[in-house]
Amino acid sequence: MKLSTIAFRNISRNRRRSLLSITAIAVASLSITGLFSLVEGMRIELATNIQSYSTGEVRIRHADVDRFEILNPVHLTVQDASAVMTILEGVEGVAATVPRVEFPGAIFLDDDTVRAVGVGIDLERERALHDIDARLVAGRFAEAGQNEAVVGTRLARELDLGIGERFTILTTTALRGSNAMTFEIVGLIDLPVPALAATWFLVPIDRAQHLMRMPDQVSTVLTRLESRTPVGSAGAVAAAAEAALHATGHETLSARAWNDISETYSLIETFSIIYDIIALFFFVLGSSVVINTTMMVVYERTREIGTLSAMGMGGGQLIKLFFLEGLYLSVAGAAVGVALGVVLSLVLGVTGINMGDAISIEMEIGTVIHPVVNLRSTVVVFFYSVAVASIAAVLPARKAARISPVEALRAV
Amino acid sequence: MKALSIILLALIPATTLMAQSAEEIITRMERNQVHDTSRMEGRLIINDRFGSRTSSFISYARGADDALIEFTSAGERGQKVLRTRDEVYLFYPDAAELIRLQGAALRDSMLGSDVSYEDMTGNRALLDNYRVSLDGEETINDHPTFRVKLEARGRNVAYPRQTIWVDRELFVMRRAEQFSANGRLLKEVEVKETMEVSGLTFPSRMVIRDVLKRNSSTEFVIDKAEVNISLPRNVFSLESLRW
Repeated sequence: MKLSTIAFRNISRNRRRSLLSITAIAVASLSITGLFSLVEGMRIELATNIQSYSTGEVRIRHADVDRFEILNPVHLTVQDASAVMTILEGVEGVAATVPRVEFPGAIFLDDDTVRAVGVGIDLERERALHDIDARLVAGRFAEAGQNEAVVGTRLARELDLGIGERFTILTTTALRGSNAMTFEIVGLIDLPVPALAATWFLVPIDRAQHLMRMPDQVSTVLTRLESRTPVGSAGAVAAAAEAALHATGHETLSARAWNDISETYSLIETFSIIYDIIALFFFVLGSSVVINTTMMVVYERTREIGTLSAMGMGGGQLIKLFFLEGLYLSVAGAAVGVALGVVLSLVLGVTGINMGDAISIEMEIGTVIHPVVNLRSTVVVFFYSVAVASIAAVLPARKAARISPVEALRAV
Repeated sequence: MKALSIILLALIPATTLMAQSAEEIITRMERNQVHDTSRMEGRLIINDRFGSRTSSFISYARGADDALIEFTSAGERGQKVLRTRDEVYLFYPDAAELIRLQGAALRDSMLGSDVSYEDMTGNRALLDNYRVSLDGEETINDHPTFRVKLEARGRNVAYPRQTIWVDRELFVMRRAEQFSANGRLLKEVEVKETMEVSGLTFPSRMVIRDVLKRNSSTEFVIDKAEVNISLPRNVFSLESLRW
C-alpha cells in the first residue's frame, strides 16, 4: 500500500481529532490572511494619501523648511515657481507638477479661535495628481481670482459654517508679517485623512499667493511620476529633479521621494516585519495542535508502528508517513483558512472596517480601512502555514521512528 | 531698647516716604509718556534668526486707553490695530470682517515681533493696575535711575510683576523687566534714546526682547511725534478702521 494512502486512511480514522487540527491551522491561516490584507490595505491607502495630499511622489520645497518646521517658516518658499515647474517637467519620469501654497492660521469666531490650514491650489493641475472631484461632497470648487473656499467637512462642522457663509483667517505672510482674508464657502470636501478634513480648506492659488505676499512663489511643488512607481524608484527621480534644479540656479530647493518623507509610512514598513513575526507566532500556536495530534497518534499507534517496522518499514518511511499526515492536515487547514480569509478580506475590502479612534488623527490614513488581498496575504500565507504545520508533524514522527519493533509490539 | 524704638520710629516715616516716592516717580514718568493725545510715526525693526525686517507705522493715542496703529510699510500697508479700553480689533484690507482679539490671542506676537498686541496697545495707567514700591537706585547706561518694583493688583494684566528703572532727572523709563506671576522673566525693554516734544520726554528708540524667543529682538523707533494735538473725530471707533 502506498504511504499516501496509509496517511489518508490514518487521518480519517479519527475524524474529530483531524478536524481539530485542520480547524487550528485554518484559524491561524484565516487570521494571518486577514491581518496581512489589513496591513496591505493600510499601506496602500497611506501611500495614496501621502502622494495625493502631502508630498506627491516627489516633493520640492525649500531645503531649510524641515530644519525650521517648528517655527512655521512660511517665508522659505519656492521662488520663480513657474520656472521651477518647467524645469521639473523636463526631468525624465516626471508626468505632472502641482504647485501649492499652504498657510496655517487662525479663524476667529465669537468665543473661540479655530486653527486651520489654507491650501492654495491650481485645480487643473491638482486633478493630475488625484481625483479631487470625487472628494467634493457639496457645492463647487473655488474659482480663480475669487475669495472663495472649499472647506473640509470636519472643519466646516467645527466652524459651524455652511455653503454661502464666510470666514476670515489670520495668517503669517512670506514677508513674516501678518495678513487676513475673508473667504466665502462655496463647497465642502470630504478628505480621507481625519487631520486634513479637520483643518484644511482649499482656495484658488492666486488668492493664496496674494494673501501670503508670494508673487510667483509657492510653498511646495508636488510631482506625479509617469507611472505610479513602486517604493524606491521615486528616489531616483527625486535625485534627478534636485540635480536639475541645482544646475539651473535653484540651489535652495530640495527634492525628496514621498517614501523618504513620511514617518508614518516608514513605521508601516517597520511594522510589516513585526507582523511577519506575529504570523510565525500564530502558526506555531496553530501547529502545536498538529504536534499534539501527531504525538497522540504515535502513542496510540505504537503497536501498529511496531507491526509496520516488523514488516520491514524503515524509520525514514515512518517519518515520511507521519509527515504526509501532517502535510495533508495542514494543506486542508491552510486552504480552508486562506480561502475564508480571502473571502472575508474581499468583503471587508468593499465595505471597509471602521477603525474609529484606533486611528490617530495624526496618521495620514482614514478611519475606514479597506483590506487588500495580495500575493503575500494568500499564496505566501498558504505555503507558510503548510510548511510550519508539516514540519511540526515531523518532530513526534522522529520519536516513532526510533521505537524498536519488539518494544512497540509489547506496548498495549 | 530706647535706641531701638527711636530707630523704628525713624524708619516708619521713611518707608512711607519711599512708597509715596515710588508712586510719584511712576506718576511723573507717565505724565511724560502717556499723552492726552498724540500722533507718532515710527518703525518696528524686527530681528530674528531669519534676518531683519522693518515695518513702519503711524499711531494715534488718547490717554492710557485708546490707541490706533496703522501700518504703512509695503508688506502691511493699510493694516490697523485699534485698542479701546477693553477691546483690540484688527483690520486688514483683504478681509471683509474685523478681527476682535480676545483671551490668549491678545498675547500673540504682532507681525512676528517681540511685541504682543497687548504690549503695543495695552492699558498704560500703571498705578491703576499695579502696587509700586521703590527698590533702590541704579545707574543704567550712564543715567542715574530709580528702580521701581510693580506688583499687579489683579489678574487683568499681561505681566504680574515688573521692574522699571526710571531716569532720576528726566523721569523717563530707561529699562524694564517684565515677569510672570512666578517670577519668570518674560520680556526686557531697554531704552536707547529719548525724545522731547512740547516739554515732555519719552522713549523714542527702545529694544524689546521676548526672552522666551531665541535670537530675537525688536527695535521700536519713533521718528516723529506730536503730542496734545487735536485728532480726527471718531479716530478710535470701529468705523475709523475702514477709512
